[in-house]
Amino acid sequence: MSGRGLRYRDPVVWSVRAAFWIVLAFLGVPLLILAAVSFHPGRFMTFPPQGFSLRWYETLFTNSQWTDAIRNSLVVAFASALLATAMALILALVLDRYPVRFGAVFRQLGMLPLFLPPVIMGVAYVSFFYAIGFSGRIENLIIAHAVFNAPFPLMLISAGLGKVGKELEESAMNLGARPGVVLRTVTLPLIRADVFAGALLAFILSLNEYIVAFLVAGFTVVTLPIELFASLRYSYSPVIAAASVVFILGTAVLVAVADRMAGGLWD
Amino acid sequence: MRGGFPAQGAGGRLARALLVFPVGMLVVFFVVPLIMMFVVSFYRNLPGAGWEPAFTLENYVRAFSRGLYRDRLVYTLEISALNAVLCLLIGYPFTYYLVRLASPFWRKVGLTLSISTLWLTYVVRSYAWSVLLSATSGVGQLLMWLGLVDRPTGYTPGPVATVVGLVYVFLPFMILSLYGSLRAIDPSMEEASMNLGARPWRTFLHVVLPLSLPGAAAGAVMVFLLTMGNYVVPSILGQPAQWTMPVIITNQVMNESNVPFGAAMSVILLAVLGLLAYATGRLVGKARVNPYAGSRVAQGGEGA
Repeated sequence: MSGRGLRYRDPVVWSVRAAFWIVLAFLGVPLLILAAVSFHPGRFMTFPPQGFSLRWYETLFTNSQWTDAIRNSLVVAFASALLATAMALILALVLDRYPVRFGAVFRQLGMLPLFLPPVIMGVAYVSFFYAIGFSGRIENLIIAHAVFNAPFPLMLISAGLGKVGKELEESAMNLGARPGVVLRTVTLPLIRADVFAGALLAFILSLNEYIVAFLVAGFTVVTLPIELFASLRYSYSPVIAAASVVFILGTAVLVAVADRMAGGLWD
Repeated sequence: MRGGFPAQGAGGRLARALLVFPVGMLVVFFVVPLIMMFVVSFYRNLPGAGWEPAFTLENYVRAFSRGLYRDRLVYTLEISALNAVLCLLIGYPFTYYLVRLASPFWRKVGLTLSISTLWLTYVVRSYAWSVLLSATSGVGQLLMWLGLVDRPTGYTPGPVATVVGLVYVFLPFMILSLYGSLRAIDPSMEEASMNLGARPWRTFLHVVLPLSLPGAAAGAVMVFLLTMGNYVVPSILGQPAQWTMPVIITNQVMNESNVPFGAAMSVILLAVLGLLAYATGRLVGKARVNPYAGSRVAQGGEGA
């Protein structure tokens, strides 16, 4: 299956091919081993697992320590994704369709959280929420994640608006539809998939985010990554592997759906 | 008039009024917290009782005068540079092969597989390696089984685990950046070079490599900056000797409750990152330094 440029059978080509498979294995194998470990029936992780048991998955979904963390994670991810998408949708729509003074600045401001190290953002939130006497609340985390993840729906929705173009809207308007009607019946349906894909990415990112969550509300709102991190300090139980597997599968499914909706996220 | 919507009139005014929500959110919950962090970095810490508003440079003096913190900053720069180089060396041949796969289907599968771990929390990814490099599961047992060692040894936490974990976590970003720039090179350029008699490695050296350099540089800069800001990997896979600035900062804020000192070190880290981003940005030139450069996700960020 060598590509068009690589038709020589020389050692360079072969070593590049070998490197390709080694890297693919390097990326995949750790997660597969984690999956295998999660079925180990004993109390301490061993590989290869001795036996097969689903007891750690049962623990994960019945033990309140874990179910609370799952619930917190889902609440924060859902609310912050909603907020992030609302911010991104308004920003993208208005900046794209109306001439706004300082529009470029606002767009860059919306993208900026993507370039700031999360740990620094976390310290900034600690300083800010403590100074206004409002620390450790779940609302803080929702807001922090919303601002931090908004660049993703912003990118996707802007790309969607660019793809759709303005011709259909102009036709609708020439036919007498008012801007509100055009927005509801033409623009929004056309970019719906991008909006959903953006919301999904914000959801996934919030679900997976650790350090901002830990700094903003780590001692009061325990999310799943925080619970995972804390438990692997104290124990070496396969329940952590089981939680990881649920994480991997959930993230994979959601990314696949987002990829579908956006018509290919990568290529 | 740029858009299809009327710029004037009630609709335009309403639209612009709506901007107050996202821009207000960004100002209040992004710009103001950063300013607040800067302000707090000059406050005085009261052990066990929060902080006291003041204007003191003692946090900065402490960060610069103690060898410990200086060493951590230098170490952070070193390991980030090492990681950027390793990701480039590993990612380049991989991505080149991937881009040149003849079948679009397999190319898509390969790309999706290789960057699918990118969304997964750092906690799980680091944890996977701490299992794999532990004595009881994975590499330790494999080496014993092969007869290379007498008893299974663990490599985690430690320097090996930290570097492996960092490569594992940031390689997908490198692949993504390289993919964008390598994909843009027309294969017929390589064919032309080879039809003119150049051997593959010569073709690579004189055609492919120069054209892909901006993407490679942007990817390396990105990995470098992301590593500088990463907390989870060095704190799970490293011993205190491998702790980077984010670990030191988080420990100050969460364990020592010394927010002013944590804020001062964050300001220093941010300043170093900003300087490096500026310097390398000139070096990288037009190539975009974006964690998701090369993906279609990133293309919308440029604006319409």
